[in-house]
Amino acid sequence: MARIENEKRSERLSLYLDGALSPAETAEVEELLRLDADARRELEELRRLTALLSSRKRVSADPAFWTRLSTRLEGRTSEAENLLPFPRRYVPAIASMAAVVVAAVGFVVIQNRMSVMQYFSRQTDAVKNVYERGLLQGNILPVLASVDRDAALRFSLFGTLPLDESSQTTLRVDQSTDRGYRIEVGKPSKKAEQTVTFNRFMAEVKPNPRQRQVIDSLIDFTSRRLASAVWVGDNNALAIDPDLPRLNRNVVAGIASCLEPTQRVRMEQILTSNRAPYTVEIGKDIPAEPELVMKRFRPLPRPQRFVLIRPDTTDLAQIRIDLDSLRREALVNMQAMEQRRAQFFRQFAAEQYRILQAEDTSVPSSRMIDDSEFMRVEVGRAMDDQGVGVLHVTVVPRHPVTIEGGDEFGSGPVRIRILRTPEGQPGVPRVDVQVNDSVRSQLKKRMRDADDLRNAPQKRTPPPPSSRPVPQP
Amino acid sequence: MALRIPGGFRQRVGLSIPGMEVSVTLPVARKEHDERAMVHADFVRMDDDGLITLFQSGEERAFRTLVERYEERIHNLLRGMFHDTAAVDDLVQEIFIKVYEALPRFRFESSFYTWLYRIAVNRSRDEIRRRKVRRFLSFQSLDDGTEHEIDARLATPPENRDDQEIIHLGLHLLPEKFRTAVVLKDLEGMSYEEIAEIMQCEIGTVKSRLSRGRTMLRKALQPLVKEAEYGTH
Repeated sequence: MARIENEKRSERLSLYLDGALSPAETAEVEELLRLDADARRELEELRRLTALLSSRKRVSADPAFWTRLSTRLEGRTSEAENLLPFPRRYVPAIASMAAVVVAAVGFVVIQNRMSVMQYFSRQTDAVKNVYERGLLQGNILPVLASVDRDAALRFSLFGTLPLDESSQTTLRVDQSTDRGYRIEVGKPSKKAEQTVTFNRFMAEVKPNPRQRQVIDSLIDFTSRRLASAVWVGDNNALAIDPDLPRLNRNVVAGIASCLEPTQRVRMEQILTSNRAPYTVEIGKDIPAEPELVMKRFRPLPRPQRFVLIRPDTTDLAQIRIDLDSLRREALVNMQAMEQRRAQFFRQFAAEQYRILQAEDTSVPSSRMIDDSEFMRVEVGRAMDDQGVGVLHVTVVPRHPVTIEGGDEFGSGPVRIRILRTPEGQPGVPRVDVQVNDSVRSQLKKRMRDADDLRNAPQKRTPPPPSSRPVPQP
Repeated sequence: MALRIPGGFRQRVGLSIPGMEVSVTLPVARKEHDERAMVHADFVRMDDDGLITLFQSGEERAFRTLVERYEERIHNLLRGMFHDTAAVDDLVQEIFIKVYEALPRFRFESSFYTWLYRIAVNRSRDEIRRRKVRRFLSFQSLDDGTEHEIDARLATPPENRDDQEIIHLGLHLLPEKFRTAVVLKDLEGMSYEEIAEIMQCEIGTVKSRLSRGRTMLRKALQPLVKEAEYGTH
């Protein structure tokens, strides 16, 4: 009886929490809450429970999901034509099992002093050959349906990617080999390594929210890349993204470069205790280039040929990102952008100086652009000691940026428009600076990085805002 | 080259130059309605009913848009229902295959959204039952040790603990009907009416299942819920 009463009371409280009671029932519950401390505690706990549940982290859309689903749908619709002794939906499992069997047989062979790399090289060539002959089209399936954050982190830190747990087949990034990786068969992964999880790593390194955001995005990116990195065809051939070592190197360097020196020490301890292929450089200064953070980097050859094979080539183009060249491109664009910007303001200042010389009207110092997402320009005129008008052009980016001179100025990613003030009206010309999305996103990233540096506990004295003297017209 | 433009017979070509705008209207030969001329962007702009109508008239590409529109939500729903993430991906695929098979018979009597969730919930229920039978037949204990795992995880210091994982484990303890009600209400934020339609039961039943599910979960996660108290005050 008491149990039923309790259940009824709990239901009332649950409905009260959801605001689903009538006014009379609400009044009853509120009276109960006023009198009964247990009811108050229960309601409070319910409230916290629902808050915990609703704060659950949601998974984001999987870009490769449609590829996997359409492959299954394709297999389903062609089931009528299936001549295999089993349904086509078992092809992924059977194909991957067969691939493992082939790998295991290969391992027996390579026990006779044949290197794993030679075996794998032959395997890759075989994949290329069958691909070129068009035999791998159709039931090509991803070996890893999804890669969780723990696996993505372990890949990033230790360069290991389990391909099949039951047969202990693992892809291992190995900087000492020419290709940068090898496949291990029948070799159990290190137990200690397996205990490193994403949450434990974060608890150990203790990143601040900004660092956490960076690490989250890197690991999510790695998960997505890994999920589409290894494929298996009907004929037991594996196709592997040759860019995996580079991905591994960039992600581990990216993680290390966003950390503070003390955090890097803790990361280094994790790497050392698990005999990871990398060592973190522990220094006080934050290096400009993420790769400088890591020691013992061996230059990797460019991937010879992309052996990732998948039915949807559009996804292929979206997913494959060469981080190295992307960063280089960003740096080159950034320099070009800075040169163009500096050149523009020189010309602009010269033009203003000419106008002021011609019109001897007093122009108050005035803010020119404040709605621009990245900088503010102030143009004005003051009087020097001799009472001669002197033009001041002040460029104040939201974070200090060293602007170097350049030789070229033109259109392209930057468009500049100067609107003259209508005649007879006081004021100064308005300047609009427009940049394209690519440059804008680079600038934003640059600013975020600068903010990170400024917000870091180890503050470095920022250089003063760029303030340029009047150039000679 | 013939231009084929869905839903219209003229195409306005605009050229934007700073300070002026040039626009030309090209007459295009009238053609019968040709879905082939539709591109992915056209599908993305359509609502669910429009996509289903297209699919039912033979335009299979409309299905991809429906999948992309709902895959994330169904994934999250099943992540609430099941603990092992690897199995979830397979199940989500099976659900969409079921939808693909049943969509030609969809009669627009409910929203696609509710219908899809109903299929997902039914498939989840079948899977939970199948797993129970399998464990029974293999003489495994039906108690899979989840409670002990929760206790062990709750014993670790909060800074080293994954609360999200513990909540997942806690949900896994609930009987299927209670779990479904809690997931739909507290994780997916649905109304009682929507849950009743998806679970195909009365609203009163939803209220009762939800309350019992919450109570069980509150007791299973007592230390976590109590900690939140100290954390918030």
